Amino acid sequence: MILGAGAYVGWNIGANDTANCVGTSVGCGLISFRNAVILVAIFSILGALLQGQYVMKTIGKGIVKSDLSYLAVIIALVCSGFFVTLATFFRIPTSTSQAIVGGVVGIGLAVNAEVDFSKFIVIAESWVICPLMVMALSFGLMHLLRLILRRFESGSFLFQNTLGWLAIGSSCYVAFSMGANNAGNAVGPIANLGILPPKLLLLMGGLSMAVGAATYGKKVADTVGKGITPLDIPGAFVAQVSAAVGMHFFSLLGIPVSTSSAIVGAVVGVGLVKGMKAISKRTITTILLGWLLTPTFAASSSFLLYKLIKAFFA
Amino acid sequence: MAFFKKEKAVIELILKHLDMVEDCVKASLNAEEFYLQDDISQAKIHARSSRSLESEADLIRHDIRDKLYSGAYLPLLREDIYKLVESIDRVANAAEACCDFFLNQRPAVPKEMKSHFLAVARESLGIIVSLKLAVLCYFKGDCKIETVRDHTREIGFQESRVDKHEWDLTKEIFISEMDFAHKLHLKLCLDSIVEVSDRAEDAGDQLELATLKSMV
Repeated sequence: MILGAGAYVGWNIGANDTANCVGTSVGCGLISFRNAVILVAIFSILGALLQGQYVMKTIGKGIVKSDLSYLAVIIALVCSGFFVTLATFFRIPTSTSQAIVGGVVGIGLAVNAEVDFSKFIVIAESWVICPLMVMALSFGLMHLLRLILRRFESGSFLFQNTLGWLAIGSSCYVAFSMGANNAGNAVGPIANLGILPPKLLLLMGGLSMAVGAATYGKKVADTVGKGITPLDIPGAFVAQVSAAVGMHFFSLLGIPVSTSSAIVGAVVGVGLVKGMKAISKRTITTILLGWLLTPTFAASSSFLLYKLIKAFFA
Repeated sequence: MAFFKKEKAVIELILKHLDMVEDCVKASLNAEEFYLQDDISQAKIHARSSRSLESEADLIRHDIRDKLYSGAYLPLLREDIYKLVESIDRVANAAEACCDFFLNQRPAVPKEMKSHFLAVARESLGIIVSLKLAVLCYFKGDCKIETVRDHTREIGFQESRVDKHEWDLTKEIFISEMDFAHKLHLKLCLDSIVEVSDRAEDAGDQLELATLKSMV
């Protein structure tokens, strides 16, 4: 059951975060969603297996400073997963990290464990700062590219082809990072329980993410690639690169960031170059609401569900 | 550079195709000029040359299609590239059809209208020079987008001049004393001449669309 809960979270990550890797490339028509899913599956599994162990340790022990029971872990995973499923259903590119962090904090409070709120606040701050910074970065980069294209280049097919391949390459890189970063989110809480060896757990996390991408990833990919603003090849390239550079910058500062917020910020920045009218305000409002409600609901539902089950069985 | 070999091969083929289309259109214009000067044997030679150049252009177009759909360029760009090549190819088709019209149907152009037909043919088929300039500028990648767009605009202006000639000549044909069948035949002949500049304008539009897509 606990492995099933981990796989469910992995499936959710695949369904929601696939958009972060390939949403822009699929949205501008660079690759078909089917091919994008194959790339996501390969690179996220590789990422999970090769570099997934670091986040797995943080999620396992970073925020809640004591070992959680099987029940607590299952509740944290199921509650976080459920709200990500809801967000995916409503096509909202939410952060699965936000949901997991919310779920783990909620359960930590419910079991009266020591919760490292200073760490939580740093993470929460990055949820706000990251999309804003990436948005500014992509806005600047898009202006720079525009200047280069108008002054020095004709923007020929070969140039666009190069930009397109770079965008696809960066999609693969983000998929690898997603595997490395988020497989730990899915199986991190289980790692402490010692049910399976860490590598096998990470493989399970990576595989469930690949299945999530293939079965339910298209909805959110459409929101990122088409819903916020229409993207062309240079736009997709700039959005991908800005998100990757922004996330790398935060990683250097040691601040964990959400790929969802980075890519949404980047796509908005690209759209803003064409003016406010190019941005779908309705989509942005829905996304912001999703970002606020997902961790809140994940935390409160895991807290309440744990208390309820304890009270009922006591 | 080791990267994008297939893509560069496609560009080379497109430039070769463009040369072939230009030669085909020029041969067609020569054929029409000789026809209007009543030198039918020379007109036939140039018409045959135009036909064979059009066939060669078709073969190159097929090569481009094969290369594109065997993996050159991203799928998103392939369609735009092939549409552009097809639209350029249609200019050669129209030029070939035009000299075929002259040599198969032998329209009887009255002496006083010959210079007007010659003028409209030179303007319409001469549009290939502007089209070639615009396409070269775009594919060689050494012009700014604005320069490419200036060239495509020039194609539009030249097509408008052809339209003006067409209007005047149509009027001249229909107010003349010829019988109606003769008038209609000359009008058909005029249509086949202006078809070349119409197709060139379509190719220019296609190119302008490509430049617009690459502008950010």
